[in-house]
Amino acid sequence: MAATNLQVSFCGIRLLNPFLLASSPVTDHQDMVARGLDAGWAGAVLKTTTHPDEENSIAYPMMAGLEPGSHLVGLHNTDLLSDHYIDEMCTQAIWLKDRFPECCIALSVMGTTRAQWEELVQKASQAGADLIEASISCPQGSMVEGDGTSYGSMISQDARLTEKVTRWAKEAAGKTPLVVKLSPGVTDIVEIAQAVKAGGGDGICAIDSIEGIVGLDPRSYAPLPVVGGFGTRGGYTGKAVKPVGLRCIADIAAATDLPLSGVGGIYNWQDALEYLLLGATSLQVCTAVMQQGFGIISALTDGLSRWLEEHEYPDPMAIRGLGLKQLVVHEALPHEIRVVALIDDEVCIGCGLCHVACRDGAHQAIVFADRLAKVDREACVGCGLCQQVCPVPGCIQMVNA
Amino acid sequence: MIHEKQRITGEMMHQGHALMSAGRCLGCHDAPCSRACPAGVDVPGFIRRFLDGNLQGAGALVYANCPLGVTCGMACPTEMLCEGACVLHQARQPAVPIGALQAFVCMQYKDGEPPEGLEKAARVAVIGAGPAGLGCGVVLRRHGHHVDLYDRQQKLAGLVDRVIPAYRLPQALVTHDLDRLSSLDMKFTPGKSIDQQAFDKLRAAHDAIFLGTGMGALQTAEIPGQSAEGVLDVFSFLEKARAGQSPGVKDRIVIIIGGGNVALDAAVVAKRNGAREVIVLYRRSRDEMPGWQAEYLEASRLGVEFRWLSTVISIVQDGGKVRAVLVQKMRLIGDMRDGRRWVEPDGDQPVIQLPCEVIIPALGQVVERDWLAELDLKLTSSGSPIVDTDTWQTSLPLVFAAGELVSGGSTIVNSLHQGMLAGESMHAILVGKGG
Repeated sequence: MAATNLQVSFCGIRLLNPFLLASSPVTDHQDMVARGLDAGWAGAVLKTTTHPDEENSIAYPMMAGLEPGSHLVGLHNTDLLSDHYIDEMCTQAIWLKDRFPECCIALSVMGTTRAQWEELVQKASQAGADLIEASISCPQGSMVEGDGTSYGSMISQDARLTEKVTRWAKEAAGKTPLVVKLSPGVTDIVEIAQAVKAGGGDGICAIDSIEGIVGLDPRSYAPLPVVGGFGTRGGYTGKAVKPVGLRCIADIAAATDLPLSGVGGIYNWQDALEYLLLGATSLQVCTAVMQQGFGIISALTDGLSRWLEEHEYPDPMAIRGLGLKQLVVHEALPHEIRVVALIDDEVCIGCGLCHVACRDGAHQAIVFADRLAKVDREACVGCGLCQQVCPVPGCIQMVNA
Repeated sequence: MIHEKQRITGEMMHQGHALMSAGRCLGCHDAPCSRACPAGVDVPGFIRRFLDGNLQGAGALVYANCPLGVTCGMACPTEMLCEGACVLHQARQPAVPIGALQAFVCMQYKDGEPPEGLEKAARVAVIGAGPAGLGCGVVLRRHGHHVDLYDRQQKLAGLVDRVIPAYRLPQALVTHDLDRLSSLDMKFTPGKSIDQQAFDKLRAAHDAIFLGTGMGALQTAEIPGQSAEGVLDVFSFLEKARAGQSPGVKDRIVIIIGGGNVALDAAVVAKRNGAREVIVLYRRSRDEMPGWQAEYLEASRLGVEFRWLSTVISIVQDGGKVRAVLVQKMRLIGDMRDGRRWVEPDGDQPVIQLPCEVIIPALGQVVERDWLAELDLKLTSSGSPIVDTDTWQTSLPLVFAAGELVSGGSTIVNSLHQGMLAGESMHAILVGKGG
């Protein structure tokens, strides 16, 4: 029975398991967070809060999905900061820490001036937050006044600003670890990660949402979600962003020694495992919880601990970064390997989708007759497209030619 | 309808097909499938783990609530339980094939379960090692108590592993469930008949007793000529067939009397074992028939003939061998008894003679009265021990009972669950927390 120890240490903080609730609507109130922690989450980064001088007015609706429904591909939001300003969030953090001393209670803050950053971080630190997360990566409207940046750009898109804000925040944080959250929307995320290190940051959280337009309303031509005939750029999250998140974590892990919190498209324990193998120590989840609730934590921890036990690893720390050495540049792949597709006739349901995909998207190597697909091994180059479109898991295997 | 076929034929799904089916599960909140399961199996939970590639976690989750996970997945009337409650029906779509998926994930489950240690463990005798007894024993072992299982038969699992046709529930599937329980180390004494003396001895040697002897006796009807050669005991008939022996109906005309699941099983088994003709005689109409729809459809598909409103009034013999039955047609009358309409002989219809060579009465099961009546137990008029509805305790202190023995004819999963509930109650009382 799944008994493996799932504890990890992140920036010197002991976590009961690697799974934290990400700063988002799921952590906007102490009662919600308490339910999440009761369900088994190791901690929560409370929804990003700011200084009361800042106006924070959300327009509704603010959600739109790519392929909405139970197979939601990605979720787009035009949400902003928490409705609760720093003092209120500190009160909630104190209440939560009192009720859940074993859990990690982190505060996420975002300011617009040096004075604001210092005040926000100091208050968070004084409130006893286990961690402080500097949000410099939200695609919706972060800025620093008087520093030459225009409204709407992100601090974390500029290495110089990132280092400067990290230093302000770290000096104000004192002994409380400071984690900086980064956007994937940059030319070179390693450069930004190194700026966090140079500024004295204790850890990095990646990735924040991806700036995008999820779709248009065909009647008004307005981006979704439509608000009174208009729409705006938003942050894209969910299953679809995992590949971007994994790539960013791998790049950062290869270039710095800072502890990493992986976030982006974690829906199940295998996603979690991938982030850990590429260098993350802790993990953050938002969209999967927004879709399926806090209860998914039991499937996450059960699956991860069984895998660790089966592979005889004592805890998640033991696998950190183990996948990095298999990640190579394209030229380093063994090009002499030859594989072909093998279709299991016993399992094939005769849909013909592999045939069509191969015919029109690859090398015309799958013959379809009498509702049976057969691979022409001479014509098959082993690209693997058929395996990706087959609706029956396990029906098509790529085997040595 | 692929899963219907699979349930009837006892075949496992292919993993790819199972994943496709599992992907249709919406993961409903307060899942109606779980609520409809007598054992409360966490259906969306095990399906999610399966989809996540966590097969062992999926199996463990099923087995936590349902220690006969494969057996119930294959043999439960799922269309009346979990699958019947599936939300997809609201969208006029077929249910997720939960039973077949449950059997699949449980068959992949490899671990046994180590019992928890308990410092002051009690010793409990479980009499009757069918679903109720096993359910009770498993729960008590999980709490760390010592469990001694006793059964009159040689095998565990009671009627489940004796009379359910092998094409519906192959031996290997029951064995898988039982193998998983073997790590619990319950001490099984087979071939143990219980009488008052034996009961008193067990009671003296144990801290508590659980009675889960079910309904092992067949209901009898006095039909003139029933001792003729060719009148078969339905349990022996089904047992022979399940054991792979010829049950002796090849090329014969077989009459089955009754309309329950045992009658339907017997009809299908007779047909599959080469009977020339199989006719089911039921004294009420199809609407009153207690047998499950899926079993009836399977029998009809195989060519079993059903004659409704037909009662056998006597058996015609020739040289001591069955030659025919005399059938009286019945008619429905308005009176309701046990929720069904009653019947009376239809005097306007002539008595018919139906030629046949084998007759298998399957008129239902009852509690065996003999040894129970010897104990100092308070019994109902049908011979079942009266139990406290909260604790499952009988009128004898620290003697508990559940399953079909207490509640009458039911499903495997229901008996299993009742046994588990009784086990929890026994644990609470034995460690001084309840009662």
